[in-house]
Amino acid sequence: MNPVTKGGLWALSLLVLATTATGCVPRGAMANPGWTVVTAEAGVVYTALSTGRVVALDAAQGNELWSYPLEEAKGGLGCSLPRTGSENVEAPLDAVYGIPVLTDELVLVASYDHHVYAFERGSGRRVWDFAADEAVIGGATVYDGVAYFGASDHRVYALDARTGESVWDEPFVTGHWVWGAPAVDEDRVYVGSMDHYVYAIDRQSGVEEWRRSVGGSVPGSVTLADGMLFVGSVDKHLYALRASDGGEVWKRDVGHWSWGEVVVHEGYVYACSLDGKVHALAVADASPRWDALSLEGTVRAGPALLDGDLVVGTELGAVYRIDVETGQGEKLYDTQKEGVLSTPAVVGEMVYLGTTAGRVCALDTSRGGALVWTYPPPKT
Amino acid sequence: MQNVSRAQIDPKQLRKTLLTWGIVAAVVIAGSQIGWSVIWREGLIRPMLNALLFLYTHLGRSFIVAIAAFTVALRLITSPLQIRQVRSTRKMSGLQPRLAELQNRYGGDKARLAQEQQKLYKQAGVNPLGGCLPTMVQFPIWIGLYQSINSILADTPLELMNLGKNVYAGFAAFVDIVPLQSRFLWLNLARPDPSPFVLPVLVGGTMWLQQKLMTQPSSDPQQASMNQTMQVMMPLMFGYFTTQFASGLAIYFVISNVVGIAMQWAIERLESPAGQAELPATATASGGGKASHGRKKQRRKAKR
Repeated sequence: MNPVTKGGLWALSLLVLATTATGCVPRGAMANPGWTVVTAEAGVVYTALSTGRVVALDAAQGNELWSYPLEEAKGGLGCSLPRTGSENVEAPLDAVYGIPVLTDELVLVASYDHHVYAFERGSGRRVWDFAADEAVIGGATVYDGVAYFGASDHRVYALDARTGESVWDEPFVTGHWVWGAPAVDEDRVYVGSMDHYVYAIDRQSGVEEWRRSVGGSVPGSVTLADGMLFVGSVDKHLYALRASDGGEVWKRDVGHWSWGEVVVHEGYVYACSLDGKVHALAVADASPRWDALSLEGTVRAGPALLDGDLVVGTELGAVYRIDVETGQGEKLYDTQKEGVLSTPAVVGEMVYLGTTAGRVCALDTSRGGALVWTYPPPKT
Repeated sequence: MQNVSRAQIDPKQLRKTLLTWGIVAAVVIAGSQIGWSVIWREGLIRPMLNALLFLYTHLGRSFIVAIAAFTVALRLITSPLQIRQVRSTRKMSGLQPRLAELQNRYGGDKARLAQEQQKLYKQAGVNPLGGCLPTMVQFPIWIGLYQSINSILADTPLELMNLGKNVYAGFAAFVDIVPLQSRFLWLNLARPDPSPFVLPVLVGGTMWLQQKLMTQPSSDPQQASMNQTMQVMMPLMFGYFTTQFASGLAIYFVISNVVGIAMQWAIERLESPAGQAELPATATASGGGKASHGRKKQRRKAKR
């Protein structure tokens, strides 16, 4: 073969290799997948899949009620270039990490593509979207018709949930990324930031009321219960702060990062940590109810409450039901290595969970965690 | 017959082969028993990632300084490989006239040509893959480093989670530094260069220069054409990668290339010129000597 032709073939092969290796493939296989988040209410499961589609499903059968977008964008040369502009209305969302939030009429979804989107609950029609300057990782929290959320641009925003218009004159600015969903009460909005601080912001004016340094960055959400804020830090401690002034009530070493939302139930706070442990601590003084339960694999998300028990998913794909009285866990279901990194949604006896492979599974706990349906349905 | 085959076995070569296969077997057994992912993570990713974090913590919390120090250290550790590569390439370069001669002589008989080339390599003590092997050995290191840098510059929750899992438990200072300072000039080191040509040009340019310095001229036109293609394509390919990958990784490429160029320059000067001349000369002389001896033999046979 002529050397020039040979060189040309080499060049072509390398170009094909380069475009393939750098993610120039159909959008469904995006390089930065989210972790399939679910919420459920009134017989409908709302989910943002790790492929960037937002879908509403019939909770009983798993049938698709609507999907956004209707068709996935196709790939091609140059497809891996960032597409974050509003002109890409038909493109799926970028990665979603925060649980979708429901209002009476809307479902709000925050995305890594810098936007918060509002879809009509009944039809999936996009009603509004709001662009922050950086990725929105944590979900929003809606209180009294206002959606509060933080972003990687260090800011905390307050929007009218119906219209997407800003409520505060200026967004509140922290010192670093805000990756967790805020906690909100009548007076204040509470957020943790990667700048090592927990902030309390006046809900009406968006002005800082107090800030409290915890031992490290706060990657997750702040939970408000019984007048206290519970927050996990990368210093491997769980902190309990007074909501009124940020004073530290207690802090407890939990062995690793406690990233997911905690659950507060009947005087105890239940938290998970990345080293695969589930902790049960007294709200009053952090004394353990039982020895931390060790599960196989990392536990990123917080637990969900199921009829007084806890449901916890792991990175290895196992889903456990844990008796809060004894701390004994039983395996409900195994996704076969599809990670469960977001908190499952629980309605009655049903558990809905999202996997890192972009699947939603419905489990009937009254039948020992039997799989009722999965979405997308298995190919026959 | 038996004596002849015994005489052909070089004990030194045998030891070397046995040792190589022993290492390969040990790695395969260890991989199947412990798990490849565990070996990859514990043997490469975690040590690299923690070393980078250590440097970041103690060198002014600058990712650029940390990566520069790490690259220099890594290049020094792998310098014996680079030296071997230079030597091997030089020896190969010295053999080019003889190879061209063989090509002319046995071009029509591929089997004979291959046989004669092997003989020549053996006589000169050259492994034709010697120039590639060091690069291949460094590949896992590059891939591991790529993963470590991506993990360290975590700006997605999944990356941050992996970072949290891979940091050694005793690394107390980690709490103060996470998430790492990822801003440098106009760059967010966790994202591609928004410009988007400065870093691709720097990566492509330094890589081209490094390739140019490392590639020895070849008398084989096909080889020369291939070298030229690679010299252009590799920088173009990495330039394209740079538009897609985290700019922190692109910075690593630039620093690595610059250090590579400096080391190549130093090695070229440190390697004794006498040695350079001697190796190919010896190889050519011995090969040539034997060949001429062979030719005399043939002539004698013809006379008879």
